[in-house]
Amino acid sequence: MTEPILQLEHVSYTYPDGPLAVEDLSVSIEKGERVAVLGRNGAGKSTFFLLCNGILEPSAGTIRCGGKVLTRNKKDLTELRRRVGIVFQEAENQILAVTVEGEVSFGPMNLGLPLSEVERRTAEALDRMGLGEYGDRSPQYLSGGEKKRVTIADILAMEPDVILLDEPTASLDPENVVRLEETLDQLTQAGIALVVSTHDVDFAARFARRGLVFSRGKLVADGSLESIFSRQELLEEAGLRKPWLWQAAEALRPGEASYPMTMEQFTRWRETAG
Amino acid sequence: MAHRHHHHTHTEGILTLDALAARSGLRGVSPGLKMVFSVGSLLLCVGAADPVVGAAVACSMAAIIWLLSKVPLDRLLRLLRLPLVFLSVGCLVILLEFTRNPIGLWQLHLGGRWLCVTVQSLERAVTLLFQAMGAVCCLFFLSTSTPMPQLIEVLRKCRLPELMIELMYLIYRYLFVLLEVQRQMTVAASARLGYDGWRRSLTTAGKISGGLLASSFRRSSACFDAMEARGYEGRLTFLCRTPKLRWPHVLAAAVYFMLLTLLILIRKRGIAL
Repeated sequence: MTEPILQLEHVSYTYPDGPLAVEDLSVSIEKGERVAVLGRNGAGKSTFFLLCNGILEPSAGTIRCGGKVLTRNKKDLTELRRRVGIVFQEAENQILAVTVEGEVSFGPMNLGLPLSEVERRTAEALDRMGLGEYGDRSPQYLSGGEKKRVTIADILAMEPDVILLDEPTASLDPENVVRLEETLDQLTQAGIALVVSTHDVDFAARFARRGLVFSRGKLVADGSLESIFSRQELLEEAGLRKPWLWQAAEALRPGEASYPMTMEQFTRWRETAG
Repeated sequence: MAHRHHHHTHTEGILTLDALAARSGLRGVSPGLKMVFSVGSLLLCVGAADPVVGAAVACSMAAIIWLLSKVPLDRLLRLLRLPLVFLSVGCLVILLEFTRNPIGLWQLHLGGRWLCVTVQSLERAVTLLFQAMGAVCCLFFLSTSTPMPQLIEVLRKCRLPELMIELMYLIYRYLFVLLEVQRQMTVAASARLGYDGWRRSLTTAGKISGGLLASSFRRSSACFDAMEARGYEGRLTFLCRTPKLRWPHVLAAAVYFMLLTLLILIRKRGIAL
């Protein structure tokens, strides 16, 4: 068996002036995996992301990256930040440079790569996000969807193994959500593991098989989305609802153990008996 | 209402120059050359202190902005309107002299004293007006043809301290972010009648400034997280491709300087053509 790309073991974190933000967190992410992270605001999702990338230092527990235990030394941190990228919720907070090309080159520049390599990676990341023509544009003249793609290109240019996306669908219009889902598929094909936090359970159901549920700083569930949505007491604890299709199917045929969550599954489910 | 209008024009001012530079017909010309061209012409224009030279610089620069930089004429005139009004008022003060006796070209009796225009004061005012307009046009040439990032890269090449370069990048970037926040807060405030009347407008504007400061602080820590997530270690560097220096452009600038110098010589030495 291959080593998981990212592994957190009994990790806890306390904010300096606050209560325990994340408590005894153990989770591992495999290569090319897709994981949906669910839970209320303030349940610990964002803290989890910042821990994964080494922005926050765990007060207890260990983080392994590709099987290797990470220390706080500079080399390990740089390595972690290259392999685990975060796409932040607010594009405006992430976009730093004054041209799109400059923005995407920021990560590779920080990795200390030779200039020709920075140029190659930047051009490739822009191309993959369909931003090839946008190189010398200023971020202030981009639309919301374009800004989101710039922030993903930011991370792609670092050639990571895992990308963590913090509520990527928030503030996107439906058309751009569809584009985002296509982009995510493309990233999975490229072998990049994706961890996406979201409040949109319908999107989560389309996106992933596996879900992590956070509540009050604890990981309260880690398993298939079917198993998560069939546990009523868990949904109540974490403030979640079932996907609409699940609810519709349940209303049609009550009493089954689990229900379809995507349109595809729903069509198949309707064809089987009933 | 008047206040809101003011806010809008102010915002548009910055955005207009920035957008014009991004679309300029001269954006492919080396920014260093454009800076030398603009500052050189400005120094010649100010140094010559001559109305004809000033007018020549102002007109030629306006023509370059219009024809080569492809700024629409109505936009250009709107840009020039503000400094023109400002300078006209300033020059009017210089034009008029307050004297005991009526002298000069034109007089107006004002309660025992005389308001006069003399040959000298006229000359001074006209010289200053054209000199200043020439200088303003030189700067408009630079700001409508050179995107700010390229300008900052030129300053970096001029060995400006790294810290100042980084600050310039960040200020330029967050100017737009904060302008947008300010715009939203202003709209939200006027939706609740926050700009109803002069006094309330003033209080609201104060509260918005405070809110802007608070949101900047909150944002700064989020931004720093995002920077660290991409491996920021204390040095802000981006890939920046600036257009290369091309000989035809250098030649064009040199010819312009030569013509300008010739004009100055003709005016100063009184050489007749």
